[in-house]
Amino acid sequence: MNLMFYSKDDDPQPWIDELRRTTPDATVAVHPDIGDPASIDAAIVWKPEPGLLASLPNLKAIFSLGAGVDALLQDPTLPIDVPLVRMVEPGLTEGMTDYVCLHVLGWHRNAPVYAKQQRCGRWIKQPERLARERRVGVMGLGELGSDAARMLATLRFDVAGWSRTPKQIDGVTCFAGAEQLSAFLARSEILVCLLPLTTQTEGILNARTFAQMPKGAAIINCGRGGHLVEEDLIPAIDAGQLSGATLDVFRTEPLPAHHAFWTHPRILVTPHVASITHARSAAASLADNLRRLQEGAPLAHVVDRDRGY
Amino acid sequence: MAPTLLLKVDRAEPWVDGFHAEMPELTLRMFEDLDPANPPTDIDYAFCWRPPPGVLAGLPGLRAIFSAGAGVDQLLEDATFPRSVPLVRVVDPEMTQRMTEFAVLCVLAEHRELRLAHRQQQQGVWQDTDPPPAWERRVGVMGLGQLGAAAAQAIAALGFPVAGWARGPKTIEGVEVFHGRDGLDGFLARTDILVNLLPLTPETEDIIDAGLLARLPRGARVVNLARGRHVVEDDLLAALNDGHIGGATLDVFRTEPLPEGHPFWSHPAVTVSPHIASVTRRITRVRLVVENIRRMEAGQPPTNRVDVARGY
Repeated sequence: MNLMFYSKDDDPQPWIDELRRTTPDATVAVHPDIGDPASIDAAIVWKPEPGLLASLPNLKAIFSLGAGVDALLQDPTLPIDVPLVRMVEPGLTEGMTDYVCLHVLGWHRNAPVYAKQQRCGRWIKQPERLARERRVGVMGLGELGSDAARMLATLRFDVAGWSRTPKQIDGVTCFAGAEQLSAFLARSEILVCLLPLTTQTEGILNARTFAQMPKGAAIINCGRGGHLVEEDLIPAIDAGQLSGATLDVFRTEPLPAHHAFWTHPRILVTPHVASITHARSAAASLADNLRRLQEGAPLAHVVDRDRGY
Repeated sequence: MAPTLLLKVDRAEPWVDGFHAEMPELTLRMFEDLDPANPPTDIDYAFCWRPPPGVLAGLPGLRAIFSAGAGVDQLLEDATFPRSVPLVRVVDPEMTQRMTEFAVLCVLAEHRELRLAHRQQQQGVWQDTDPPPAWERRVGVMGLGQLGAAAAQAIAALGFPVAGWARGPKTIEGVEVFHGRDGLDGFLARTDILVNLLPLTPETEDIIDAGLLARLPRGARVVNLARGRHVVEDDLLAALNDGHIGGATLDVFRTEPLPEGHPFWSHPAVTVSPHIASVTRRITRVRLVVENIRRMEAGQPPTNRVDVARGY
């Protein structure tokens, strides 16, 4: 089996090493040195240039290195009949859960206020609450959202989740569908966005959303930049409706040099680092799917293209 | 006869209201109202943080002393402290919960380079900080009492390999336990993020000094949530400046509030917070004291009594 690896952001070597260990009969070609495009059976990709995948005539599977496949689905030439697989791997999930817990705890325990006080040399204790008295809302209860929600519940936060279809997660109050969104927002003092980016979820973090949340709520966006209507955020913060935001993803990445988010005192910008796929922890899931591919068995984590994730 | 409780608190009124509400029959007296020349014999209990030295020793009828916090080191500093009177500290389930939250926050902040993220934002830099995954970041918790054990388990739940170090052997699920002076080297050698939750005793004072820091791997982080006097501040600064220690998150200091101009305030590798890791609510403390007074009035021993010889 011949695999093509394509990513401008990842070193291919760990992937080559892991695949040699887990799937010794596969050969890995790193784009652009792939030889005959007709020889490629499967592609492992992150943000491939549009048209690249369509140029591989015998492609039998596309494996996304990221959990979100919205960028791949933007390619109008993406082969329709080739299964597209999103990344589900414990390292990616764990990293995201770390990031979410860090920033939820940070807002909960006034970390942005203490950081500012440190810069001014001020020693002032802020009023504190217990995690169980802090209502956190997680939008999106897929692999990433459900794990983050579970861990927040383990940390004793009062956690609710919201998803397109009804879910059941121990320790998490689950809301579903458009009709329950308002009730979910009304109880979310810290809102975490881990939705997939689809036509239904684009722009879901907007002025109307913020207005339905408790006054002084905080937003953590580690879904996609397209979830946030960027021009609605700063007015909501400046009006006091929101106390601030932690943003890892943006409409344009890298975040442009003069973007107002860089310098706003109540916005924390991180450079799309919430979580990354690790070759070591992803190897098992990838090897399992490659074995299924060889055996002609159905692949795991195939994207439903109508749904968009 | 109704018992008498002596209070030494900063602002009396909310405490008086709290005790009245929880135990109306309790007689309350204020330290400030005592006549040093004529120490009263009718004081049964005392609630205080750091009373003037000698005052407690002068109260012959005292049946228990309640520390206003989890620590009792500040009381035992008084050479005249009446060591035969039961000493009770605050063991507040909420305190454990608050400390656990804060310990997890500090570990995650060091792990995910939160200081660097702030700095990069100030400079408009878009650059991956590339932290290792949690399973490659070894966390070590010094002190495995109620606070340390709960924090160690919460940190382990996030996928960090967690070890703990305690005076004597312990078993904590999911945590590799080292103990005693002999276990310290092995514990330090495998610790990338050190979290201090030890009690302050003569044995643990100044424990985080140049020698201890040197035994941590290069680039290790220090999180101090216990007492300022656990850390030799100049040694920590030197280790931060030469890069052996990669960062520190400090909630407690030798002098509090942290003095103006102290190098920790502005050090780029230090995060300072104003002793807020775990503050117990007034009503919680009142209830714990009242519960123990009721126990003692009924002839039962108090809960959470301190072993004065051990110091915690």
